Amino acid sequence: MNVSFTNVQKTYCTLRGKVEALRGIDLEIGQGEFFILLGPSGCGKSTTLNLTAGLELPTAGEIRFADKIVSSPEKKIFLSPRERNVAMVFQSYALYPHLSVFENIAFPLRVAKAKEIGKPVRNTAHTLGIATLLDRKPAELSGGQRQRVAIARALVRNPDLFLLDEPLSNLDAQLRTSMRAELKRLQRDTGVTTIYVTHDQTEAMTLGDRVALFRDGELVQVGTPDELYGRPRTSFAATFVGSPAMNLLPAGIQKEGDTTVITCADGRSELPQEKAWMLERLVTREALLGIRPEHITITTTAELASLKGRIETIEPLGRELLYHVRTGVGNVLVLTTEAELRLGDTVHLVFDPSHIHLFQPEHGAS
Amino acid sequence: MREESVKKILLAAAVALTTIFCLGPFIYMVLTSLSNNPDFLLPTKPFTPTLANFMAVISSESAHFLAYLRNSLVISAVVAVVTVFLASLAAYALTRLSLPGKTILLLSVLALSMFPPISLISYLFKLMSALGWVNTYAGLILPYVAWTMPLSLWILVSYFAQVPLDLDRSARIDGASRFQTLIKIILPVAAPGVFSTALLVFIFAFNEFLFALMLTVDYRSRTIPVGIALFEGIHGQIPWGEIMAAATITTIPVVILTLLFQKRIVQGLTRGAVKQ
Amino acid sequence: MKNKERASSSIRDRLPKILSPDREVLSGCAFLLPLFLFICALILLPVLGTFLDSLRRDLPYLPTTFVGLDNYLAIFRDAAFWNSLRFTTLFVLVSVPLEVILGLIIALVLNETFPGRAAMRAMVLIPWAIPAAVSGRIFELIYKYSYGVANYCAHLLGVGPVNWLGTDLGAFAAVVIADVWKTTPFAAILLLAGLAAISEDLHRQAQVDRANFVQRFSKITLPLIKPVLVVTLLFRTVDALRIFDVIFVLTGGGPGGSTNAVSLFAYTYYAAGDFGYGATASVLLFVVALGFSLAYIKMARFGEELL
Repeated sequence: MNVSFTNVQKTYCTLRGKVEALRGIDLEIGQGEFFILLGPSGCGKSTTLNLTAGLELPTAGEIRFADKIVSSPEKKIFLSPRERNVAMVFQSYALYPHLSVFENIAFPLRVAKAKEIGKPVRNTAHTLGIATLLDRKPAELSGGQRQRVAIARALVRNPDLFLLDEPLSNLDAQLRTSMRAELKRLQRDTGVTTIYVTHDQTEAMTLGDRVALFRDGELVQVGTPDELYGRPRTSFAATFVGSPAMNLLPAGIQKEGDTTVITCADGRSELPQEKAWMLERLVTREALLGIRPEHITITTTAELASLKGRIETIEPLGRELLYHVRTGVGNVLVLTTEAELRLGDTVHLVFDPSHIHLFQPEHGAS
Repeated sequence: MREESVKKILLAAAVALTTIFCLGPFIYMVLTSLSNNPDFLLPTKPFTPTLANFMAVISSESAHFLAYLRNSLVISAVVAVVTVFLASLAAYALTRLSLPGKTILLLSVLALSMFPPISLISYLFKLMSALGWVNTYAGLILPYVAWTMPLSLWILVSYFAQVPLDLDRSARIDGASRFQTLIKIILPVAAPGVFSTALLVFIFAFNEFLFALMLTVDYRSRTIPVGIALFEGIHGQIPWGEIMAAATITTIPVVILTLLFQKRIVQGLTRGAVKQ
Repeated sequence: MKNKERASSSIRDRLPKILSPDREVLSGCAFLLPLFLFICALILLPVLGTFLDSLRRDLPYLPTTFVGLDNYLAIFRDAAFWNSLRFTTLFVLVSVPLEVILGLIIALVLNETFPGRAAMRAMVLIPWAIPAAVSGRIFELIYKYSYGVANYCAHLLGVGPVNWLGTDLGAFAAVVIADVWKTTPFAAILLLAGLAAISEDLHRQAQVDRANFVQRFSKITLPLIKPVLVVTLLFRTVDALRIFDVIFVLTGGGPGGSTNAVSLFAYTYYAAGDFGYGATASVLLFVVALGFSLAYIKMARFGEELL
């Protein structure tokens, strides 16, 4: 089932005044997509999820499921969660503590007065590997097991839409990685349209078919993980996605004949032709040059057009090392397998031109 | 170290004195109920243990003691169930739904619980008379339900507020209506608190005096507190032995409840009055 | 399909904004309705009714007429009323501090760990748990001049038998003692909760800083339980103002009306059928109690965090 949002807004009236959680977002989510809502806390992604589930009413705008309106304040249409066929997994799992695992999973079926309860519950439990835990109570289960019960409860009634609100954030790192893979496999097997909220960009990148990046109630960018990684639209998107974060360096733009040259202190880079469109983003001659730590070459030999700097900190990350280099334009992070450099070394940085980005500096940011 | 031993002595003395203070009157009550003559403390009178007082109280038709006991137990139980259920509905709404003026409502309800009963009873009496409900169970149950609502609401709100909202959301998404969520999820999860509240309501209804005094006339609906208060005996001399026997029998269920559920009772009371 | 949607939505559009209900508010009202009905019909309405009654001459066998403030003027000239007011005030001033101090002592005791503490906590609750009328009768027996245990103890102490219920002072003392016995547990429970809320670390810190028990009590315990103390005092004050059960059973207002609380004063008129005059006394008591309860609520002010 596909989902669409048209100019959806949500404003809360609190004791402290009005809070605009969503400022008018438009989204199209396709059938069977694993769609990620990504962003820092307070950006509106959880609000979007709640509005999709029918737990809250939008202040304005329209939400449709497969072209049928489910929420529209203007048209006075609002379907309660009961009337939408959605399932949701919460960060806290929200398992009913007084019911056994079997009864937890069976709950939606019992409420809907389904004729068959035992078989679907057992099948779903089996799919999620918790068939042996059906008699236990939630308090007796581990975090990972509880999560599986929550997922089982969601999937047992074959929902049209599967919503997840930061389900992995309460698990330890190892469990998180294995659950990520399992969730991906599960979604592929069932083919149910999934909307997944997270603040962890690694999760977003590995799980999602497409990602919507939120900030302060607005959509910054929507695209595949590759698009967000390789063609971020703003400096915020550029630094939010990818770890370690992209370097943003103040740079000057100069035209030298046919080519555009970007200067960072003593470093120079030529802007490739295919990236000329980035210039249209800029309003002034001052720009931010974006280059990811993994796209910088670091050498001790001076090269033409390289940026000079000194190594301040070295972070060994196993296979690679992260160098913090102090240059004339600020601290630059370099991720490389080059392991022969030492603290205090003078080094030269060369930026890979095919991976250069240009952004307009935001107010007060540089 | 001296402070330690001084403290220990003081503590022991305090415990002893508190015990005498609390239990003294009870012991006297039980002794008198078991004594053949109530003046057994006089040097010239002996203490002859006997169960005659108990037999007299239970078997005496004119005393109606068993009727009073039955009335009290039935009325208190019904009030406990009804009040807690209705207050649960309200507590659910106040803790889960966004409504205007919630705090004001809650504080106003709290103020209601502090009204002097005497300021209500005259009109209540007229109302019940007009409805023909004086001296009936309904005539006591309904005012009691209203009277114990504020306290129940207050305590239940504090318990419900501790049930995570995610449980509600999950139930709603699973298709449950708000009422189903309350019955199937919130009440079971908050069961200890609901039980504490019911216990307190039972005790308050059981012990209530003024309403029962004015809204009942005879054994058909009169409750124990009024029965014992008005127990005068037939022959002019107050039958203390029998009165104390009646009192002893009355306090037995209360004492059992208190001993069994003191933790729950204390929890409920403190939630009703102290900042958590 | 689309046309139908358009038609129905235009009807909804024509509904005035106020009538189109927010579903949540609607179900909220449904849930609150029973409570609201009960409270309006059986608490607010009677209070209002009593107010109105106080403005009427309401006697048996005579037609009920509106007399305006005549009842109030009469009651302000009534020495018996002022007497009952005086007694009630004295009662509150004596018994409430007594309850709270004793309650604090008991709470301090219960806050310590010792064997049988749970049993003692249950035992302390029992006087609170029994009906006030029953405790009234027990104390009536205790204070019996000829063979009650109170005079038995007095005899043991070498003091002559006290005419508890027959003298003004004796009756006052008897009533205060009976009420304190019944209500101290409640004060103790509240104060215990307040004491338990004080972190053990604070006491240990003070002990390390070489403060003795008295100093720890006055500098740490007392200030930290001040809010609970104030709440308990106000709560008990409102309760003490409406005292009825114990006095009805123990003294019946005597001897000679010296222990006539305002509640009992009003009741006596009700029992005689004079609803107008009784209502007047009830209203005055209500106003005083309301004043204290508003102060209590203002002090407590803890409704907000819950919601």
